[in-house]
Amino acid sequence: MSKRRLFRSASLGSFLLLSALLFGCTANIPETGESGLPAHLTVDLHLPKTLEVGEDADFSVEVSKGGKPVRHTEQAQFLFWPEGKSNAAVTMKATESLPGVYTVSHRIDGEGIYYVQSLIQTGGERVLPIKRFAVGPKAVEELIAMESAARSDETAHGEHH
Amino acid sequence: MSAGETIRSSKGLSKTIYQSVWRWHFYAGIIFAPFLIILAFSGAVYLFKPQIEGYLYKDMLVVREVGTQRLSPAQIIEKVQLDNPNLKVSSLTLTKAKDASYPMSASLSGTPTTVYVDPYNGEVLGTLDTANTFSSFFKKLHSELVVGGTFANRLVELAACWAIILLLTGLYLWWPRNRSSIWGTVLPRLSKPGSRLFWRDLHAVPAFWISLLLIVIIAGGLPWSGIMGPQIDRLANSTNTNTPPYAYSFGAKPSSVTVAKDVAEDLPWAAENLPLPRSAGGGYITLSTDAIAEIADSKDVAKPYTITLPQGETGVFTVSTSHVKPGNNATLHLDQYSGAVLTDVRFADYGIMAKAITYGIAFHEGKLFGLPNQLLGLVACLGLILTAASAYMMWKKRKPDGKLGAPNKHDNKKVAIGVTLIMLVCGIIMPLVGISILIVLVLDVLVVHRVKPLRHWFSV
Repeated sequence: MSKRRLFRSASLGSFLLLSALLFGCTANIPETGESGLPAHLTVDLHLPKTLEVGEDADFSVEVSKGGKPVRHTEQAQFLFWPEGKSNAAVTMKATESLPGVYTVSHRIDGEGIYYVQSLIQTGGERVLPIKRFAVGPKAVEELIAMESAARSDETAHGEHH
Repeated sequence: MSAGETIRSSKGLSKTIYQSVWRWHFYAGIIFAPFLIILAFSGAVYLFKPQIEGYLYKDMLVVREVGTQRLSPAQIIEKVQLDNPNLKVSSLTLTKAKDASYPMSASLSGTPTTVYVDPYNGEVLGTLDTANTFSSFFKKLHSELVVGGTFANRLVELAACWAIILLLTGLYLWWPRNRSSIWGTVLPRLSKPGSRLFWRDLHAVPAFWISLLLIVIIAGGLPWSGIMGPQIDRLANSTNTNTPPYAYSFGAKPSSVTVAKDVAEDLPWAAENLPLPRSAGGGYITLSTDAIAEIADSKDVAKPYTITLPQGETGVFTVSTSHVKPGNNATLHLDQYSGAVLTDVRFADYGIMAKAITYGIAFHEGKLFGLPNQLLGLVACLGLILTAASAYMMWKKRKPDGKLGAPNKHDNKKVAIGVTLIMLVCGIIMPLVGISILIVLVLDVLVVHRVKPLRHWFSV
C-alpha cells in the first residue's frame, strides 16, 4: 500500500472514529411535535350526552399519538363505579369502533354519581383517564357542587380507583 | 551576548517571573484564605450529612417496626392530610429500604416542612423545618456564608475561582527548579519545628498533594455557581452535550395536555338558571399517586424516587429519582389527568458534559463511591485548612513591622504585564476573577500608587 493510500485510510478511519465518539457524546433529544414535547399518548374520554337509568349508553375514548389514531391496543377497558365504592368497580372490555376509538355500552342501574375510567395499554405505554357523571336531578346538583369545589381547590385529588 | 550572559539573563528572567507570580499568590491568599477556610470547614461537615443526620434524626428516618405491607402512596397522603389539616403535601418520596420512612415535602401553615411518615401505618414520625436542619445550616454556610443573598453567593464563587488560581500559581512556585531532592517537594522537612522551612514545607508539600483533588472538587462545584454555572450550561447546550429538555424535577415543566374543561362549559345551566338536566358529565379528575407510582414502576424507575404532585389545572406529576450515585437518574413528567408520560429523561440520554457534571457534583458531595469518596473530600478540606494555616505562619514570620510583608515588586515591566495578561485570560474564563482583577488594578493606579503610606505598606 502506498504512503498516500495509507494516509487516506488512516484519515478516514480517524474521521469515522471521531464521528462515532461525538455521536455517542451528544444528548439524546427526541423529536418533538406541535406541543414541543416528544410523541406521547393523547386521550379524549367521551361521555354520553344524556343518560337514563336502565338504558344502555355508549362511552368511548379516542386515543392518538403524534396526531395519528392508535389502533389495536393491547388493552382497552372501561371501569365504572358509583361514588364512594371504588371497590365495586365493574370492568368492561372495549371494542375499536373507529380507528383509535374504543367504545363500550353500559347501563346505569340507579340515580347517583358515577366514575368512569378507561384503561389503555399500548407498546409499553398506558393511559387511564377518569371522568365522573351524574344521573338524576339530585346527583346533577351534587356534581355541580363537586366540580366547583374541585376547581376552587387546584390541588384537590378526586376519588381514585 | 555570551553563553554565560545568556544563562544569567535567563536565570534573572525566571527569578523575575517567580517574584511576580509570588506577589499574585500572596495577595490572592491574604484576601481569600479566610473564605476558603470557611468553605473547607463547612464542606467537611456537609460531606458527612448522611451519617450525621442518620444519627440526629434516626427516630424520623427509621420506622419503629417493619410491617408486612406498606400503605399505598395515596393512602399515606390522605391519612397525613386528614390527621394534619394545616399540612399541604407537595411531594412524597418512596424509599427502598424496608425500615426507611417516607419523606414528604409539605407546607405547614406556609412553612416549608419535611414530614417523615411510617409507610406501614401512615403515622407521622416527625417533622423538620426544611430551612433549619443541621445540614441546611452547613449548606448555607458553604454556598452563601450563612448571610445568604446574591452578594454572598458571588463571594463564594469568587473565592472558589481564586482558589484555582492559588493552586496553579502555587504549583508554579512549588515546581522544583534547582533541586532534585524529594524533601521539600513531595515530603516535608519537619526536623526544625517552628522554622520558616518547617512552615514552608507544611504549606507547599500538602498543597501539592491535594492540588489535583481540590481542582476536581472545585470544578465539580462550579456548575452550581451563579456566574460560571450558566456559562457552563451555555457551552454544554451549544455543543449539544447537555441534558435533553425537562431532565430535572426542578426548573421548567411541561403542561398536562389533557384539557380539563371548565365546569361552566360542561354544565352551562349552572350559570344561567336553566332547569337542571336529568344527567350530566363532569370534567377529568386528577389521577391518584397510586396510578402514578404504578406507571413509574412499569417504566423501571428504580427506588428511591419522588412523586411531586401537580400544581394547578395544567400541572403535571413529576417522578424523579433521588439516588445517591449517578447512573440510574430518571425524570418523568406525566399528564395529571391521563397518566401519559409526556417526557422521560434517563441518565443515558444525557450528553457527555451533563454526565461529567453529574459525576463531578456527586464527587464534590462525596457520594460517588461511598466512604472513600467522603474521606478523600475530608482530606482535601483538612489539607486546605492546613495549607492556609501554615501560609499564615510563614507570613507572620516574614512580615516586617509597618509593612504588609508582600514579596517585593521587581522592575521588569514586561514580566509584570505578561503575568497580568495571563491573569486576565483566567479572568475571561472566570468572569468574577476578571472583574476583581480590574477593580484591584484600578485601585492600584488610582489609590495605592498615589498615597505614600499605602505605597510603602504594599511594597510598590
